[in-house]
Amino acid sequence: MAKKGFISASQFKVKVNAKQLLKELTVNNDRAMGRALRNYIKPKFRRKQDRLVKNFKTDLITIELKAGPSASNTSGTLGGYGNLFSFIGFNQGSDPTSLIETIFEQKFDFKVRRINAAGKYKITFYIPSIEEIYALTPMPWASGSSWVDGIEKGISNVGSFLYSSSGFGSSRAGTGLQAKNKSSGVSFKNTSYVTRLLTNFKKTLVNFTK
Amino acid sequence: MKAQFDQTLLSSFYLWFENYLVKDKAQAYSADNSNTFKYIDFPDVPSSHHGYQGQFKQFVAEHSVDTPNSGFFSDGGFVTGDYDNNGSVFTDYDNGRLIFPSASGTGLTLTANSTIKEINTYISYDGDLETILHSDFKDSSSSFPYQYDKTSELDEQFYFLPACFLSLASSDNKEFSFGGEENTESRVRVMILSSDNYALDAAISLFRDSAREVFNNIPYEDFPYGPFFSIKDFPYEYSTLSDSMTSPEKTHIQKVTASKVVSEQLRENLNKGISIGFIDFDLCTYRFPRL
Repeated sequence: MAKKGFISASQFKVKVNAKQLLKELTVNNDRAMGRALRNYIKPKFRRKQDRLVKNFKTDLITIELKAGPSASNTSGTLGGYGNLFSFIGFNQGSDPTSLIETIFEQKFDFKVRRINAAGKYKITFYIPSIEEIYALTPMPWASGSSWVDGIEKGISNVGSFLYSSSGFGSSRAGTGLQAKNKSSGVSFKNTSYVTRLLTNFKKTLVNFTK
Repeated sequence: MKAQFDQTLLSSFYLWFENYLVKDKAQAYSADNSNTFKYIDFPDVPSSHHGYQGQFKQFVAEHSVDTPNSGFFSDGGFVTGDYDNNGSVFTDYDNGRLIFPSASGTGLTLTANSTIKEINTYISYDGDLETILHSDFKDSSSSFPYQYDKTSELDEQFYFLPACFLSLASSDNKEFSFGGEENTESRVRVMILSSDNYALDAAISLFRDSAREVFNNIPYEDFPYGPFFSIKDFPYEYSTLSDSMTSPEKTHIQKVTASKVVSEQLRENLNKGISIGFIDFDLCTYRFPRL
């Protein structure tokens, strides 16, 4: 008959208060938690930003503008006639989209901050507003208006006269003008551009599980 | 086809805009200008009528101004501008003409003391700069700023500067609330042509400050101008017409963006001495488009 040991003990059990443990790890250690959140979000945020840059570069409007004055109207905004670069009236050799590209590549940032004792965190993303983009994209021939805003909400075809070499002859009255050579009557169809890209980008910021 | 929202909006905006220029804040009109009319065989006047062209272009139709256009003189006798009480004579406020029934003949002696716009206003449905720039202009730097100089000019198509050309640039519906209410966002573009920078700057400043104003949408059928741009219900006051609307649909001016053409190359290509400004009005109208 086996003898019982001199010392006996019941099976060792550890009870974990998960709620308390989580609190210890998160609420009472907010710096580490903030760091962990930042490290988790940062690469995903960068990937989303890279995707925005890629979407911008591959947008039909961007492609057409980058192609300069000899491009065809691949965006369809002019009904296939002419091209946006000349229609808006940019200077030959300029790249109007490069500034937006730079902004999209560099400017974005975010902050993680604990906002209450229960361990709730707030993540704030700093992304350029569409108004900022408008302010940084002036029409090449006018003060106070933006070519991006024009693409999105309608643009005057005044820029298309910028490089009209023949110009306009004098009027019958001698005090005004009268066109000698009528152009094709191209009209512009507005379309959402940077606003659409930014809106879609913002939608991706509510989910960081991917 | 019945008029749709965009037409109502643009015509309502035109009436608001036109009135804004002659209200106390701006008073962009000139009163008591001695005017004489001459018979012209206008292509747009049917054979049932004869047209007489005055020396000025656009008359002020608004009756609340200091000295409104109340009528004209025929052989020295006063004739009211009220179509219903003057033997069916149309006053063409847009072109500065009087349109008589053809039975009146072509030899009338017509004069008036006209109140005229300092800044003319035009609806440009196509929003087409080309159409406008292909036209002739008379400007305020000439000896008679608002007048036709020569008889031979009377039958020619002129725009008198400074002039504002209104067009609908774009519109979009955004879902606003349950039940089908939407926010119709529209952009009305006003292009101002002027050889006078003072007038251009004044107009830009005036309308830039109109942001966040509200105006009533006046149904297309209640547009106060009728045949030959005459007044349907004389005398006409914008505020009276606007206030008479029952539960009117309102449009809010959310934002106004003003810009001026600064490219010298562009100005040279367009025309010497004419300055161009743009005022973009971003408008919001909350409505039920599917009801």
